[in-house]
Parts: sequence; structure tokens; C-alpha cells
Amino acid sequence: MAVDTQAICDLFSVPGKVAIITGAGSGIGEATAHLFSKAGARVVIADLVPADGQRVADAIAAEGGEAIAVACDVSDEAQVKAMVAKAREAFGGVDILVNNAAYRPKADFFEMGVEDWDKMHAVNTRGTFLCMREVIKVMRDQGKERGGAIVNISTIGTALPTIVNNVHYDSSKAGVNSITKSTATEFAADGIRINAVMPGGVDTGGAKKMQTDPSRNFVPKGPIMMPGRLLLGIAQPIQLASAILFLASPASSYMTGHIMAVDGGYLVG
Amino acid sequence: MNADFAGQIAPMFDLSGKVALVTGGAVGMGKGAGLAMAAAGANVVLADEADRVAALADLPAGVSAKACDITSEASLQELVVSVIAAHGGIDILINGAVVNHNKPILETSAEEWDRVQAINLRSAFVVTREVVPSMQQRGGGRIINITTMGSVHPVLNGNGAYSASRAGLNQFTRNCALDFAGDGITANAILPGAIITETIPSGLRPTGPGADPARHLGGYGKVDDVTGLALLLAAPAGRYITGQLIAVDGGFLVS
Repeated sequence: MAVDTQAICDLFSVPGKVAIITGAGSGIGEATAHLFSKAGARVVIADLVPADGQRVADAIAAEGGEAIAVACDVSDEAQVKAMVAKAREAFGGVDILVNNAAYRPKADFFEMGVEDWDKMHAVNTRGTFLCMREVIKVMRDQGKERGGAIVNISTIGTALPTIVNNVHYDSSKAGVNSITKSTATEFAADGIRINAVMPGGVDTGGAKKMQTDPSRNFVPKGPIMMPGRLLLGIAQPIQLASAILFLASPASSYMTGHIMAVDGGYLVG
Repeated sequence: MNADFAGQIAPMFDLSGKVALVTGGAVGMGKGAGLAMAAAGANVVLADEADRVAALADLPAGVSAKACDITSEASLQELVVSVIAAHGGIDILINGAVVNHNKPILETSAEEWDRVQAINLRSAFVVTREVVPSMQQRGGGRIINITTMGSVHPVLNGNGAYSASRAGLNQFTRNCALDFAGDGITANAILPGAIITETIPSGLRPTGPGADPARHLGGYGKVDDVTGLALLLAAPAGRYITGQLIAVDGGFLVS
């Protein structure tokens, strides 16, 4: 049977949509930014590290896409407001938000300072809230017909513990799950769909650094490190990006409030 | 905007050369999912009861239909053998066969209970058992089971037998994901919400949470609302998703 390319692309593409992706300077965010561009989106690369964001924006432009880089610490309210304002200024609105930026350093349960705990929740939980608040204001003003889609990146660790020394991270992401469901309910009437993806083990720069940087003094241990627990092996960032695109695209137009694991079978392993 | 997005995205969802078998394939979500597989390039066999198969008309190229008795092990075995003989194997299995059953628990006979379980759960086991060896031979496959959001949260009064059968299929899905991960086979379930299809019994006056329109935040759904997820789970783009129960419910579970 011949492929109906038009029908497939109508489902899984986001032509002309404006997508803000936080933490898009590396890892899952970078893969998502490239994929969204390939799917027709105009992309706002928001990243804490300006050089990383600019590198990804330049790479997308070189591929024939449209992207701008905006430096942003998502835990900083003023910077989030400025980032969303720049997105509107550059592209005239916002249709998609992917809350991918995350803080990840591990900490021993007993030695964890309140500053570690607070920083984790400031970036992962408060940052998600701040970006959603500013973007939902824009989406709501754009009207129900245009609506919007938000995809929050959580972790499989919120459903089943993965590694030790990660209590603060899992807690911050469980908050993201809760925000996802609460806002899905609250803004359904505005045509805004809000879902989350729970990655398992992903082969990203951050994860590699976590395992090789001796200054972090962290040896990952826990269920996810047991051989065979990731039934399909470790994920490549594009495999997460694919699921994120699905949740941002018309293919998922009847889905909201869902927390979807893309974990290579960890939850059933 | 990237001018070649069609060329970039289509390969992620290309099912050219794949063979898909869909039970309950002549009506509702089974049919919709089957036609979506065909649009992505797969050869599709829609399996269903004889009268439903007979009523099918104007099937697109690459789509055929086959009658079977979903409650009969022998008939299902024969179905799978014939599909493999005709197409060389099976890559995608969609267990969409379903019977609705809405009746007070206190009035439900053991025979009715058994029939609901046979159609909604046992058939999926039998077909999966018969199909997986072909997937193993071909180096991988996708199992997609269509259940219901009622399998995780009660929707209507009187849906006890129905919901139990679908909850059973959910867990069967998760165990298939575990058992066959080493074969490159993924298994996932779609949990549709209030999707309006032609098989919903007329004259039903349901009670319960799902009878309140306000609980369906996204309104009532249509068959097309689940085909996108079915395609993701069948396509290269969904290769890393397995063991998942994914609701397409317009927000009912968060209402």
C-alpha cells in the first residue's frame, strides 16, 4: 500500500507552530528542538548556557529551519517573563511549550543541604510552573481555537525509584506530574492540552557526565543500574523527542492530563 | 519554518512492507486503526465477525478483510495461519475485538461473564500466542491492545464484567512487554475514553461518572482521536515505548 504522506504529516507535524523548548541546548531538549524544526515548527531554544542554545539554533538554521536562542534560567521569574516576551516578539505567539530544563546533581540523603533541596525544586518544579504560567497567559489570550500544547518532562523515578541519592530530584519531578494533571483539568476549556513524558535511562551528555566526572563523587546505584532492567536498553534522545512531538501534535488531540512513560520497559522489568 | 517537514517526518511513521492484523477490525476503533496503518503503508487484514466483514465496502488498496469467530480458538488459529500464508508473516497485531456489556452485577450470569471475558480478554491471549512466533522470526513486532479508561477508573454503573476484562488485558499487555522485549517486540495498550462509534448500543441510559458530560473535559471523542497513538505505537517513532497503558480520554481521568 502506498504511503499517504499527507495524512501522516497532518497527524504528526506542527507546521508554522511556535515551540518553546527549555533546556534545549543539550540532550533530550536538543534532539526535540531539531525534531520539532523538522516537523515544521519555529523553535525557541531556551537554555541556561547561552553558547549551548546558540549552537543548537545555528545548527537548526543550517538545516533550513527557523530558531532563536534565548538565555534563560527557568527558576528566575524575570528571566522567564523576558524569554516568553522574546518568543512572542520573534514569532508572534506561542503554540507549544516543552518544559525540559532540569537540575540533576545527586546528593546523599543525610548530607543534602536545604540549598540542594531548594535549588532542585526551584529549577524543576518552580521553573515548570513559571514557564507554564507565562505561556498559558499567552495561549489563553490567543483564544480557544488556536489553543496550545504543553509537554512536561518528568522521570520514571516518580513511578518507581531508579537510583539512590536522587530523593530531591524525584520529589521535584513528582511535583511536575501533579502540576501536569491539575493544569490539564484547569485549562481544558481553553483548548490547552497538557501531558508529561517520563523518560527512563537516556544516553545524554548530562548522564554521561554524571558517571564520569570524579568531582561529583557519585557512583550511580539502584534498580535501574541492574542488568536487564531497561528491557530495550538505554534510550537515544530522539526516542524521547518522538514521544514529545506526538504529544505536541494533532495526533494526540484527545489526550490531556496523561503521564506517559517512554522507558524501554523499565516499569515492567 | 523547515520547508521539507513532510520528507523529514514521514519516514518516522512509515510502515511500508509491514503486515498488520486487526481483530475487531471491521468497525469502530479497530477499523480506524487498521486504515491508519494502511495509510502509513502497511498491508492490513481486518478480522471480524462474518456479518460485519460482509458489510465492509470500498476498502482501500492493501486492505483486506477476513471473517472469524473471536470466541473460537480454532477459528483464531486458522485466521493467523491464513494471514501468514497470504502475506508471509505479521509485524503488527492490534487486538481490537470487544463486546460492550452494561448490566447490573447482581443480574449478570456466569455465562454472560464468561462470554465477555472470552471476547475481550481470552481472544487477545489466543491471537497473541499465535502471532508472536511470526514476529520473533521477523526480528520484532508491535502488539497494540485497545482497552478502556474504565479499566483504571470506573466510568459507568453496570460495567463490572466489561471493565474487569479490559483490566485483565492491560496487565496481559504489560506481561507481554516483559516476556517479548528480548525479541524486539513492544506491547502497549490504548485506553480510549468516550469515543463515539457505531457499535455503542442505542437506547443505553447509563449512570455513573462517565454519564456526566462535564467529566469529559475534551468532549466526546471520535475514532480518529485514537489512530494517531496507534500509529505511533506501530511505527519506528515508537520503538522505545513498551509496557504502557496510554489513555486517550479527553481528560476524563483528571476530571
